[in-house]
Amino acid sequence: MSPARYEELLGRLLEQELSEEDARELARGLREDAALREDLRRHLLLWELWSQSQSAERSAEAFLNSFKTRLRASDEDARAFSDAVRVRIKNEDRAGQTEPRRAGDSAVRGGITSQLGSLAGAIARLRQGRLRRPGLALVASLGVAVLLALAWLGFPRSAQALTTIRGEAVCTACVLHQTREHLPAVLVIRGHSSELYYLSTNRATANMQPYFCGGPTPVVAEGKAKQHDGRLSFDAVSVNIVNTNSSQPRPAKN
Amino acid sequence: MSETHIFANPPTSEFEALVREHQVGLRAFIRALGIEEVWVDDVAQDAFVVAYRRLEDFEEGTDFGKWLRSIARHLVANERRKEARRSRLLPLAVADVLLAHEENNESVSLDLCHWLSAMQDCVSQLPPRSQELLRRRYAAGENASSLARELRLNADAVRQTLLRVRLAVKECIQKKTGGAWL
Repeated sequence: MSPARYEELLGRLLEQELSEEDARELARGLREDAALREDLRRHLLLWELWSQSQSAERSAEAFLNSFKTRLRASDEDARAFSDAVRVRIKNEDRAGQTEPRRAGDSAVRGGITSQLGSLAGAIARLRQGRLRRPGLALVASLGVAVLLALAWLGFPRSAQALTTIRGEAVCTACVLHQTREHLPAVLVIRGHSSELYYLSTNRATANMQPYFCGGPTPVVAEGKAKQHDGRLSFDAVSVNIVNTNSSQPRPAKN
Repeated sequence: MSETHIFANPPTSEFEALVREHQVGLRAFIRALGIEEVWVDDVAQDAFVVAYRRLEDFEEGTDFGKWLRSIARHLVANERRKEARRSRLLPLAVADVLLAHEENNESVSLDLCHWLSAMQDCVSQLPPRSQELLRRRYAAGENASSLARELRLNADAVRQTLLRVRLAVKECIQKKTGGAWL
């Protein structure tokens, strides 16, 4: 491979604009020439270092914060999940319902709670390596998914009333690195479990992305929560970024 | 080490210190293994989470950075095997070569502050326009195509200019360090 051609392909690679055909050509050159491999490796290392030093989103502090958030999110195991569902059900019972509960709701929820407990135990044992059959893990996971759906359907309609969530404002791209698209979300920590609410785009969240990308930042949001395509979303009517430097939060109203 | 300590949440201050100490080098290492620029931090965080969970496997007195890199290498190799997650890798053909030859670099020690300092000197010697281009590319996260649109230039021309700047910086570093490379 000629030096000029290598440089052309290198330039495209560093700009994430290398086609598959170009990639194969570059790979052939790299395989045949150790000096080219070393050159590419140095470019990757150098410009990665430069990127880290130049971008606030990639600072050591931002990285550490994201790591802590990731760790909390990954801490959510089957036991914590069932605990969270139990807490929700208990809160519903305490709050009283604005609409009459359908007959059999309590029984359904009681059964769900009990089944979640035993499934949680099974999954915990799987995680600890006591049960190593992948089929069991799959069945248990599917069981949790089905029960989650039942639990959701079992909630009375008042669950869709305005609710307040308190947590950390995070961007699903800059902070959680879960998506390419920058989506505002609120990570709610409850004991050892966490829930991620994707915020709908509306006036309440408009122009607030910098707070989310600079997160995790304490936030209080009021709105309606719902579940869609297996994930929690939150249609906020107000989002208050809690300013840690003053006692007054900065509100944005829908 | 007790289980309580391993799963302490938030992580212990000792582990936080390890994250601070090793994050720069680990991210650079992961990039050179063939992970796409935008996914480097994601994979690095995966590696730290795995390390945190498996702290009991770490042999005290040995090189923590080396252990972390071995975790990262496994993660990237797994990435290669997972069809659905290949988007985190550079184009596969190139990623395969980088991963296959990575073991040759096992003994390389990364004197990162030294290199970054040399790099800053070299960039400061560039013409202001080149410095601005680098700033927009790396601080603002715009790639050649988006820069071209904003500057109303041809994307090829922007890519070529960026490449020339990169080659100049690399040559400058090489001179400053007397060829003692990363």
